[in-house]
Amino acid sequence: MKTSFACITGLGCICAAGISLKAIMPVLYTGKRNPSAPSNFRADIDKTSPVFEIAWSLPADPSANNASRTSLLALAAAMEALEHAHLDNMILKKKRVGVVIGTTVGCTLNNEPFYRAYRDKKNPEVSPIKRFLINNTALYVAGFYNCSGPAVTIANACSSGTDAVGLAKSWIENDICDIVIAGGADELCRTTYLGFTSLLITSQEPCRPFDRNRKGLNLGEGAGIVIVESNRSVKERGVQVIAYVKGYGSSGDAHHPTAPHPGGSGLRRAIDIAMRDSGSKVNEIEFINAHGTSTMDNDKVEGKVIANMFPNSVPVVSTKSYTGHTLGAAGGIEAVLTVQALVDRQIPATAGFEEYDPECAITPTTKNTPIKSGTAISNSLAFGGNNSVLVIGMEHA
Amino acid sequence: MRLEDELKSLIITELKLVDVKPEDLKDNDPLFGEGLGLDSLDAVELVVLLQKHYRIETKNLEQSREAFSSVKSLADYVRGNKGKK
Amino acid sequence: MSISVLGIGTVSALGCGIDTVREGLEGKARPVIEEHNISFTDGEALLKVYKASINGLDRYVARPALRRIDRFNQMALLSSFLAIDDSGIIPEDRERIGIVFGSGYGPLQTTFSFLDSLIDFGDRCASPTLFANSVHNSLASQASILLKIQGPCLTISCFEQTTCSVMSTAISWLREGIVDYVLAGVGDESCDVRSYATLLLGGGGCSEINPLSFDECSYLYGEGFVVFLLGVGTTDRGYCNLISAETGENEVSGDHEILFLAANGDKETGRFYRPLINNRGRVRAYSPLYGGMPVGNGFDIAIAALSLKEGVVYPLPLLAPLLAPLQAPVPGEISSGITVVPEQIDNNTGNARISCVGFDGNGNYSLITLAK
Repeated sequence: MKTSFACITGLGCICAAGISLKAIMPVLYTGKRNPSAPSNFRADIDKTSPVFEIAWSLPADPSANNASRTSLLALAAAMEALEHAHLDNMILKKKRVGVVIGTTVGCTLNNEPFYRAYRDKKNPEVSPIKRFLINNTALYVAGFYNCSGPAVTIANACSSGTDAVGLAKSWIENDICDIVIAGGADELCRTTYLGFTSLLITSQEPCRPFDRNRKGLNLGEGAGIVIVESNRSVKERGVQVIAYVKGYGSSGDAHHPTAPHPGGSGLRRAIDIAMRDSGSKVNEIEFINAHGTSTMDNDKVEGKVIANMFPNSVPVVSTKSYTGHTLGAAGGIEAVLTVQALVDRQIPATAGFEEYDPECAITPTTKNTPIKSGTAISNSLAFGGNNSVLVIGMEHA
Repeated sequence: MRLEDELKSLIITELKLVDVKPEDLKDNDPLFGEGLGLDSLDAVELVVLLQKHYRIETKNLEQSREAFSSVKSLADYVRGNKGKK
Repeated sequence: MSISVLGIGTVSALGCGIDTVREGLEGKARPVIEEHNISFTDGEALLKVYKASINGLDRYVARPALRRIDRFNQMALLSSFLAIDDSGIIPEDRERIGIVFGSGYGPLQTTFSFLDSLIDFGDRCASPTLFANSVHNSLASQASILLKIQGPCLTISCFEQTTCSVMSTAISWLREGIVDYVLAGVGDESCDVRSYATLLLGGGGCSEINPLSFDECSYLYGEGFVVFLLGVGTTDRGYCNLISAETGENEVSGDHEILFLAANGDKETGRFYRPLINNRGRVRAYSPLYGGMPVGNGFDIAIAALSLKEGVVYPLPLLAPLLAPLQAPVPGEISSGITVVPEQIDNNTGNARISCVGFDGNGNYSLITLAK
């Protein structure tokens, strides 16, 4: 049985909107965004879609250990979150600290130059393989902070970050850990970019979630980390709780490798399970941070499910309109932004939204919208039909 | 070879259809849904097929829905767009 | 609350199904080991690889439904169907079954096939189907689609820690009452690039895996998939109970009645296994049956479950050239209870248990314990 509950004591984020959570929120509240053509790689295609790339150079590799961009993003967000939670190496050493991070690129061996050289029988050196072997995202972060608890990299496509926070909640509630570094991290990558382009779900314009004239998604990169801590550890350290991971639910469509179930049956069940887990009622939900990728299919299915399950037109925002779709990082980033919005008592406008689409059946936020400090939901839908949902609240139970 | 027959062979190979021979496919049979049973993932793979073999760029699936409905319509689409680029 | 191993499905170099693993353990079947020819600018090299064969998937899935499903995915699917068949259970409420799969490297071959599509025909011709199949969770997704499983569906990928994380997540789901059953599975596949990388990293140059010889590299890599159907229940159902799955650093404490090592001839991890040879209980290593892979300890769990069900500890697998050194073990080197015939498990106390231990290159261990 549950011996503890999951408190959030630190937040960290890095994405195209800013280098830290402190820098990101003002950008969201002023509605600024600037997706542009990818600068780190070339793609020989006609349909170039803009990306939400992190434009400034990342901090130098603090581990001095050949970190990948994804590892660096994860470390940057983890550092901010740990500092926010007043955790240093001395304290981490004494606690059972787990790491669970979602990613797609961070656990994939798709080094194109290596593979091209291999195909051409040019005997490529082993260094890219070695680099891959030391850059598994969760293992990298766990190694950097010398964490003694479990370290798990979730590779659940676009719901990975949400599933990571859900697993962290379970580790705290089952007394497996005192503290968990949880979230998601992903870098932009040519392979992924070409993959999404081939599926014809990227937009040549900046994305516009839930808009009638939406053309598809824009990819992005970044990391979002929450520090999830047991109430016992919080009490012992005398730190402030920012919010609670109150509920988590996950459910499969069992429908199609890339398309969501048209009726959204899996998402519906995932929301149900997460709500039951949280003990919250529908009328207590202050807002929903939607998956809102801006693809035709996703927004249609998700919008309808939301309209149907939350009839009192609960405010809906898609923060992907500022971050792009950061894949494995998305659930982590969106958990962080959801908590911060609850703290700030306002949610930003959904950038790009102009015209209501009856097929989506919802109107997302069109301006900064005040909310009560209460409970909110963050949705993630993944390739393969997995749906994962977090319920985050300012009060426990 | 008739363009229609060429397309049938390409569809079978590229979409990895099993237990289907070119002669089983009628020119006017629907490719999606009830007919051959192709789905949305096959639709985007068809886009690649057209690019790869005929250098035809298809930017929007919605606008090409008609063209993708049967082997016949696909052949007409190829004839109409070949070498346009 | 006890968690039972109700059914097991395997696809490996020994064949398909848990019976092929038993035959391997009894010395009646040998793993298929293929030679891969790796070519360089200035020559060629041969590398031995444990190669799985996939037979009988068409009993469960119509061929047209398999057209987009790659070989690795087929291994996972077949193992899943076999695990359910093996359990004899037909779970009715598909919303109350979860899937948690893991892989050290993910769908490698399809990842490279996707790159082939854009290298061969240009960026405009990147294949959407191959891309969709190249994501790590495509195996679990396809299993959920074809088995109509609608509970949570999770994929984990963290090298040698993968199996333990998969099993501990399954335990959590069952204990928390999120689902009634879990299909928990792990696997990895062979491909040319993995062969090349293995060669560069110093493996594959030997003729046989010699798991308990820690001073030399005798690593041969393998492929396969193993799936467990787990459920809440008592030991009279299925094989045995899954007691715990936990991770830690460096020393595995305490003495273990029966200890299975995931040692696979890799020299880097070998040093961490060496002290465990002095365990007071019996020690075994079965990697010569299934080959080296980050999730190889998944096969150890299957062997442990089988051993507990049968009430015997199988001998260390002996492929021909291994026989000689083992008949005359070096004193002190391999001290504890290694024999060439199955031994009865002493179950007088009714709580026989087997612990499966695996290490990564940094000395992090995972310890998975099963009991009758």
